[in-house]
Amino acid sequence: MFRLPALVALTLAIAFAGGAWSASWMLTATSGFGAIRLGSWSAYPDLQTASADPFAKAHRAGDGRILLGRAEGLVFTARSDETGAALSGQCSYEISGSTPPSRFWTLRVAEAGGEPLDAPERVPVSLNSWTTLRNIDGTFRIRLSAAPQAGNWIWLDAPDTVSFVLTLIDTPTAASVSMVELDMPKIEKIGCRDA
Amino acid sequence: MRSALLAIAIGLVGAAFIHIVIILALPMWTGKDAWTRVEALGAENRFYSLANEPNITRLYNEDPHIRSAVCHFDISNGPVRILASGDVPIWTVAAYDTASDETYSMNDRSAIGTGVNIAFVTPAQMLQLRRFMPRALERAVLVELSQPQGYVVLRAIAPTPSQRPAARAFLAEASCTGITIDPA
Repeated sequence: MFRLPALVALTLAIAFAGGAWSASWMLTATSGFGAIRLGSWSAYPDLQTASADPFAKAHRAGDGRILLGRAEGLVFTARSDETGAALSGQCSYEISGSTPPSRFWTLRVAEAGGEPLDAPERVPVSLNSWTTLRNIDGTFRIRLSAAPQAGNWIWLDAPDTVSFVLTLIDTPTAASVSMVELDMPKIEKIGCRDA
Repeated sequence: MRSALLAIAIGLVGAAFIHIVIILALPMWTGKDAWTRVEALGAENRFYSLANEPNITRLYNEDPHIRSAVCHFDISNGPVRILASGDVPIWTVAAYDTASDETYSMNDRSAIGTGVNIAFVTPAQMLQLRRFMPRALERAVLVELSQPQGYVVLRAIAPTPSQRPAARAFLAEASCTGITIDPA
């Protein structure tokens, strides 16, 4: 007697619960398609445009950040080192190599979500292409650790995982299709403190 | 048994439909997208320089070397002109519509002269300007926007601490003013 209402209820329950669950799962599992991956670095060159996919747009609207336009630059984020291990705020790293061509770049450390770290006063939390010391061939070596280092040094001391953010300003990278040929700096783990 | 399977199958199709609806509708209902935050900064047609630390506006300069200022505008009653000049090594500017899709972007290398001089116009205003170009807009980059509302972000780069005052001044003196064109 109650078979039909029960079946209708089952259908609706599957539809609503399944739809809501799969949507929220997709949004936590992916940050949209169209990413370029170069080593540990990834960037979304179309994220700020109308041609971004619906998942990327949902993320963008949830984050509420003012993104860089196409002629402004491109932001690369790294969440793991060369070996694929997640970047930890308790470890020290070395970033070495060179960046894709750009007029200006900055490198900073952020929390896993992209927010700046709580740093004490007067420690360097970011470097840029003007202030980075280079080797003769134009490459650089940047140390990230809690204790100051000679050469290029960025302070890194956080309890959780962190991300490294490389912002390229005025770069043809955003427009170039052959992204895979570009050089990105390498991220190597030097060591970790015992937590 | 057959009808139970049918109910599950229809439920799954419905789930797929609801999934699509949620993903597509989400950008309109988050309430914390960039346009909502920019609009909450204050009145239109003026630049608001963003702070360097996270604050109540939820908009800030994430990168300490890149300072930015935002202005939101509505060009349905007349074009909006963006002017800025100063001694900064690099500046960039980008415009977005209310869905935060990029409508225009440029940097100092592609500018005529050294300063920012852009006018955002509607297609109808563009037709008027083609017939009669006011002196003030002769050297401006005219950008036609299909949607009258939007916001523009101006960024100044300060690689070293000594360049920060210049970057701050560049953004503080930038203007984002509505202008009227004579219906000739």
